[in-house]
Amino acid sequence: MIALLRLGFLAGLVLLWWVASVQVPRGLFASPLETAAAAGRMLAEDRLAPALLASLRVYATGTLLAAGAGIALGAAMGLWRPFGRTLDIFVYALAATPRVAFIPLIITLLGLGVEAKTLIIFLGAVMPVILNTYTGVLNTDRDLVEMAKATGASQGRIFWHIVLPGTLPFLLTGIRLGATIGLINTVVAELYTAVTGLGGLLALYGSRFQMAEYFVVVLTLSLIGVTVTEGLRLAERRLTRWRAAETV
Amino acid sequence: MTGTDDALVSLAGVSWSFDGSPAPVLQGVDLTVAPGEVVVVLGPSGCGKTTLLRIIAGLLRPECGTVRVSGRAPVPGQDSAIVFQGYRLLPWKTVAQNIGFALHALPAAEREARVARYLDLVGLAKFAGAYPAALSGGMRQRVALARALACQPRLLLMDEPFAALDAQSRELMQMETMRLIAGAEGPAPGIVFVTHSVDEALMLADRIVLMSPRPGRIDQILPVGFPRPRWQADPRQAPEFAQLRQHLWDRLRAMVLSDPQSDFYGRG
Repeated sequence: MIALLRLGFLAGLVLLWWVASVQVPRGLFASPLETAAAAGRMLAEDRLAPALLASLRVYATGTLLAAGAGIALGAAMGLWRPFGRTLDIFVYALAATPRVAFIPLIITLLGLGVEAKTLIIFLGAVMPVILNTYTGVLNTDRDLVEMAKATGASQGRIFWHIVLPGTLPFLLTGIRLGATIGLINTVVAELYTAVTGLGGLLALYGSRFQMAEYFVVVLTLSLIGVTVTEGLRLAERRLTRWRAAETV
Repeated sequence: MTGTDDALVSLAGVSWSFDGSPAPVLQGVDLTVAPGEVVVVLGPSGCGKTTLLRIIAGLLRPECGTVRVSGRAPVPGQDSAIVFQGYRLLPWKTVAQNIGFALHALPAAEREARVARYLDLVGLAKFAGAYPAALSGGMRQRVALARALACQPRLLLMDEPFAALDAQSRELMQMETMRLIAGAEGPAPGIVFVTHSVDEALMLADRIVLMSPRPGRIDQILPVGFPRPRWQADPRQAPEFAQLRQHLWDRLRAMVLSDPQSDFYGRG
């Protein structure tokens, strides 16, 4: 039922798009049909795939590095309190700073290549992972830890069986937020450093008023975002299945 | 009473206070528990009964005095098992995994067999694969009990295990628990059971240790001689039951009315 309503809503959106494309003077906007035709051309002429791969490569590298580093740092901050309390105020400050402000600095240091792009994506994606992991570890149930100690559990056992599973819902939310910011920063990086990938195509088609091609790129980015976040949401549901019983 | 040598638990001059606090939570506690004996620690809030339990478990170290369980300083997980007030099941583990969690020292095959036996004992074999969230309060309590019994401890520590249950379930679980402990493999464990319920104490105890608050001290130790098993011979009709009950209530009331930190201070 919901799926049907959603399909209906999607059809409504496409219709709205079509109505808008008829109203706006030609050349400033592309209709759904023109966009579909452009997508076919771009695929046939192999213009889309190389850009998509280039974007996905830096996006995946930056986001995965951010997930790894964010989990490690967030967990260390939560487990070792003096470390966490020293650092957390700085992490909050950095998270509140628009990190695109660092792009000129990053370009000065790393140039315009893959390294600079990866760092820009990493910096965007890492913050929510650190903060959510940190919060999750701090929210560890003290009563469960005491129960584990009473069974003679070691520190390692307490971490793997109590701290980590308790943190998992927080951590996965952090990764999902990080992945979203990572995708935004992928486009930002491709626009501001060496113009490549999907961001590069956006700049190219936008400046030439090739609106149909431009829309294809926008939709491709949207599709990446949806796929990644939905995939993570699915993983989240599977990994925290035990919670399902609570809401029933 | 049993001498210190063959005692299961012996405490001598045990005191404990929070870091930096001048008022001790426990002061000069002497207590022995014989193997297989059920000792109920009864007292109002603030008498340190839960702290006492943690010290016997080896989770807290006394500031002064000595603690011996089976003749040595207690090691958590080796000398005792605890049933906690709030069940404390791991929500991300199934019922079987929760029981297995306490048996990490056993080889996997033996662990699985033991988990199955104790699930059977508490009548939850059907729920082995269920998550705690899907169980009722009474069922969770039985899982927590199975987790403790599966360790086959010589000493079972129970911290107000039925406080979260409603009055009826609570009474049924008291009897059910005693029956399950009696029905488990091996010799019956010694039990230190903490409660603030007079009736629970009278139903379960071989001896009642009455504690007074601020600082937590032993007020009296009273033997309870009703015949066992008490789920068959209900002692509540006996005149001695009423007398003991009255005596304990009088003592508790006096303590609460004279405790400046209690809600009922000076209202006698």
